Amino acid sequence: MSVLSIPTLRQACRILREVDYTEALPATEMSPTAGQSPRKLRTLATIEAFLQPIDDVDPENRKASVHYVNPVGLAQWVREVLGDPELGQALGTVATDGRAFGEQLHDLKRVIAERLAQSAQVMRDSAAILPDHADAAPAREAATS
Amino acid sequence: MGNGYAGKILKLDLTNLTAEVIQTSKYESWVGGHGMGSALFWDLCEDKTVKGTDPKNVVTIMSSPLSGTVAPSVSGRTEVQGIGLQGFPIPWYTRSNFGGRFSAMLKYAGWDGIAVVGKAPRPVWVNVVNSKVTFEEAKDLWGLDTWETQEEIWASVTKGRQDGAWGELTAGRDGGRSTQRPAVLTIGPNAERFAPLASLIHDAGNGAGQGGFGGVFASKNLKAVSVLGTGGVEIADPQAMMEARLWAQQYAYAGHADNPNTYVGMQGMSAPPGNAIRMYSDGVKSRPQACVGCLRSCRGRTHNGSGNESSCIDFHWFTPQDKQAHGGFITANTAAATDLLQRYGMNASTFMAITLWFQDLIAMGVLGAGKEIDTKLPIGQFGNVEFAAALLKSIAENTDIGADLAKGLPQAATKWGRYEKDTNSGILPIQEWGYAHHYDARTETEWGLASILGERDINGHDFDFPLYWTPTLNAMQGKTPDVSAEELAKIFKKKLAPFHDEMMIDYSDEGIYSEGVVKATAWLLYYGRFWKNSVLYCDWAWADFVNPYGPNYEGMTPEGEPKFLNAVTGGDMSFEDGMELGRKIWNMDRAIWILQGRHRDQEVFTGYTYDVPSNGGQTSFELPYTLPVYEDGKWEYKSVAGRTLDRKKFEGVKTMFYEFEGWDPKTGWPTRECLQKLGLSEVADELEKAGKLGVA
Repeated sequence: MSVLSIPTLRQACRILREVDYTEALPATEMSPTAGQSPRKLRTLATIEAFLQPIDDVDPENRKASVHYVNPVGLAQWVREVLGDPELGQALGTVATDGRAFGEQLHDLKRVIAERLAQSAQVMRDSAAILPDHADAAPAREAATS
Repeated sequence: MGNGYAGKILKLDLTNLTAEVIQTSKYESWVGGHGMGSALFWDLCEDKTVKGTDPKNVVTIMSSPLSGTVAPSVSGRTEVQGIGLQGFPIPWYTRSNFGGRFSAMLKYAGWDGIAVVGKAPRPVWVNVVNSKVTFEEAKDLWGLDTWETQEEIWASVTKGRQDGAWGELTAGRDGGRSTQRPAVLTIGPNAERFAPLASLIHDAGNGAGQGGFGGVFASKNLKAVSVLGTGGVEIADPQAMMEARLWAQQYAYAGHADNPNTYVGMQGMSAPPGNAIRMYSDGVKSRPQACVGCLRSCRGRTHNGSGNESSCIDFHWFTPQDKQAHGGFITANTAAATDLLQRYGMNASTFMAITLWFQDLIAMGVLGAGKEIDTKLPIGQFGNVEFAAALLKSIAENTDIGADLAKGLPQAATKWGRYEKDTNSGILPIQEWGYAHHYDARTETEWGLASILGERDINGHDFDFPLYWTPTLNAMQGKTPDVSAEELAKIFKKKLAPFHDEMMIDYSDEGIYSEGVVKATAWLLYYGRFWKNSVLYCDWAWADFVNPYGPNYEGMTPEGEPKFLNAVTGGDMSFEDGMELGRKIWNMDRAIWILQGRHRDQEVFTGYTYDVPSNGGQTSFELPYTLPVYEDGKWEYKSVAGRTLDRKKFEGVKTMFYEFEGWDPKTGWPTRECLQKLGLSEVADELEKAGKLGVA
């Protein structure tokens, strides 16, 4: 069940945009072979893909690496950098519920995936209504506003 | 009965293209591997201040008495040492190590090691078939990659017989018969062009990556060494060996395959086999692949042949970029890039640092066509094998930015005016001596301290798996570790011979500047120098501190290491004896670095170690970082993320370490008293002659 209201076209464009390098969300990939490597995530879609379950880090299923973002930092980044206070609040609720990261990340990933799907749908609907403007112009306009 | 030794060391005089025999007995007190190799280097390299490319440099390639036996996770390793090319700003005397079957084949051919001296007048490869040694023309091999080279040599030595078919090695069956291919150690195409990055490669994916020994081989006009043997390894007590092997099996997955443990954490000896730690793309099937005699079998052979025998960092230099470009999934690009790297014979660890740094430089708009660092490399393909291929080719052929990178990563960064800036911010992940950042001096301080006091990243996961990975994985999953911090401290106290001090694993803000971290560092260095680098126990399985199959989660260390060694040699070396010998080897290496110009003032990390905490997101190497700490009178697991090293306190730790070793704290140079106690009077004489003996 959706917990987020449908974004406007302008909001959807902001949500789907790539932020500048200096605004990227810091993340870490942990690997027993390589130690910890920094990552800088610049889109919400990249963050969603980066968040991978760690439940299967077990001897039978030796996952090579763990992908980590600070959940509280993620919520703050979504609010302040991406500019989506509603999603930021939803993520913040998960981030501060006292559970471990590995338990939270399923919910973090689910909420982000929902927001991405909503935004993509808004973009598709916009393209259907205004076929002449189906290119990236709205996104450019929103991203620079 | 034998004692595990073949009895002979092969000295290859490349200048005169002659082979000589050195009796192993002269060096048996060093046991094998690095200790024996360093002792040989000390005797054979008259001027230890020469460059790695100087013909006077000596490279030793060593086995151990356990090589080629059934002792687990030890008998397939080979140790290499000499003056390297990778260290920055000074290319130190250094070491590297690789798995596979080379050391076993060396023993079967009747040799305990190889010492390479001089420089061949023309490109050659060396063909060792049992006791017969010939120098073969390598002009036609010089430009071939590592796989092509091995295929050519296999065909030449086996005279084209089919794999697995019997072949006579010399005239008549008394000369030896074998179904095996020779074990070949080779360099990539024209490796002199990318010397500091050049590895030694054996079979598909075994590499001595660190140190630039591929470049040293190239400087000696040596393309490859091929070894084929038909003998065996005679050991002192076969029954003790079999009993020890069966005992060890109870600590390994192999002894519990029908009912494996459910332990959450990173495992060494007890881990399940195969699959190269899951760095293949979905759908790739693989079977476990082991080095000779190994119970751990950490590598894989794949159904499509891609990524065969590679492991660890071989893949990881490209997996993050692959995943980032492909929606978080590992694709076939990773294995393809890995195979390319192995074929060129380049150091994967350095390439991990290059790609991490590049991802920032690209995003910052610094690297690209027409940018500050101008390149025609296909930046848009970053994460695809097309980029990997273009990058590796540019380095191998000295074109585009590859011409600078081929001289070494820190050298290229210096030329581009970014070394200082980017190691201060941390986006260029080099913490010491020009080597790629691995584990972090700010958190696992003993790892960093051991590396900066030595000459390279120590790559010793002894503490790292049970003390960092296991509690961190549990914390991230909201689980309680099977072994509490208090129980862990007891296990380590019991096993950390000869110090037996539980405070060695205190990672609190006070603990990392205490006597505990000094002892922990010394333990890692002595254990590494002897049990791992000399006896050649594999880092991926040993030391075995915590083992879910062991009684009360206790692993085989320190009982296991001497158990196998003594079964082979017939000696009665204790674990503590080995640690003392490790200390001796460590001090000999230290003396070589002192002769090369080492001083305590140089033993300083790059800027981000002291100035950038992890939570700024610029380096992010230590998020999260759960370790055992002793605070308020009790042990607990706690995240120490966000920490920096305090310069003044760290200098204090260095002073404590120098004093602990009996070195001069002003210079970091060993004193005569210290060296004499270790039986290294000749080394003290040499330092004194150079005016570099420490003052007591």
